[in-house]
Amino acid sequence: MIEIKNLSKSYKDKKVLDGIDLAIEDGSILGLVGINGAGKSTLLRLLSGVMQADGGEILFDGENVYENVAVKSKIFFLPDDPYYTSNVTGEKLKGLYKQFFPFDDELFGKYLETFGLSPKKPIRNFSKGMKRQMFISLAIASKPKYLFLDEAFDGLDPLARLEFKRGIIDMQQEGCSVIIASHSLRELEDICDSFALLDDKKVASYGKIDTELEKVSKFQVVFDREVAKEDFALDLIKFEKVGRVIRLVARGDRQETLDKINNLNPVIVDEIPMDFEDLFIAEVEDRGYLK
Amino acid sequence: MQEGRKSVCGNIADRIKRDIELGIRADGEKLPSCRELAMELGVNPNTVQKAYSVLEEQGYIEVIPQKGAYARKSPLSSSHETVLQQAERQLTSLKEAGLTKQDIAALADKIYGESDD
Repeated sequence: MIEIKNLSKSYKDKKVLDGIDLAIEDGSILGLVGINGAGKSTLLRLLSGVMQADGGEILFDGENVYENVAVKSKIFFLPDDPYYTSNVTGEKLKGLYKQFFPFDDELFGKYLETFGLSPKKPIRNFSKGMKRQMFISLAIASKPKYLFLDEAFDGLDPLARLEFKRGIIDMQQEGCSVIIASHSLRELEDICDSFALLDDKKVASYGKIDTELEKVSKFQVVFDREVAKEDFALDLIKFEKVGRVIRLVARGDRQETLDKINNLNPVIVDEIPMDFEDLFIAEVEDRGYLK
Repeated sequence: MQEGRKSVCGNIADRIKRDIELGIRADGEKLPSCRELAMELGVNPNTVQKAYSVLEEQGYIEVIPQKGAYARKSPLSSSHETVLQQAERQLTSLKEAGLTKQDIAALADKIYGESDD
């Protein structure tokens, strides 16, 4: 299990993370989300033990990660823009990663074939998407215990995304814990079982995606008279009135919310299903950061 | 206008439900395992498991431990209740929009024919 306790990090005098608390169970696939600049990349770098926090700690099964080779050897961190030297090929990178990880040559070959990549060509000539596919192949073949991905889906075509998701599922089934930072909430919703939303330097929201989605509901309601926000005895995350149509998002039991709406005798009540992206937007707007 | 999209779990359940109702999946036919379906779709196996739970609750499938999930063509009465609930909800909405009792009677004749089925 990964435990993040009261973690803080500043760059010069700019505080990026201020008291992050989060526990990540083994075998989870966690989506790390937040608006741009929320600190996702910073958190991943801290988790990978390549950067030191200013306060708090990160423990992997009770052991601190920073500069801890034993722990770091189990972690594969794939940044948004991975560094590589100018002449490097897939083959050479394989040689490098073999030094650090229980590398599976056959698995690497399989993914290269799936993505149609040559191990012998210099990757500097690859397109952005192909480079990412190469590094994804290396990451999966390295069979780490922990896989941290920064902006995983960026630049991948839909078929490559599917293969990538399949690779992640396979890894999870073999006991790997995966953390993916991404803006592609639809993709995350497919593959992740849990999420953490970073906002205002803290963890604003976290949990299992399906559980959290059950705690909110969205309705479109029409009344034949003027109705104000205060008339609804609801814990409202969002309240929007356009003409005679009210759209609201409320926290709490779905049936209770529906009952309270019906108590106000609406003309029409329509439930609108919510997905992860809807939840994200509602949560972040509620905190006032997308005004 | 923002259109609502159903959750991944909901979409999976709906698709299987539709396949069973349309006969694409025959009565007694074995469904793919959670893991197989998860791999096919590129989704978390827990999500598929949840969808299967929901379908079992609603009577569309039967899950036999150690063996797998099987389609059930004639859903139990509990899902008939769901159908009734749905009909009530939609007819109530349409009533507000002006659908009269006579309209419904006329439509029923059209859809079901003159017999009582």
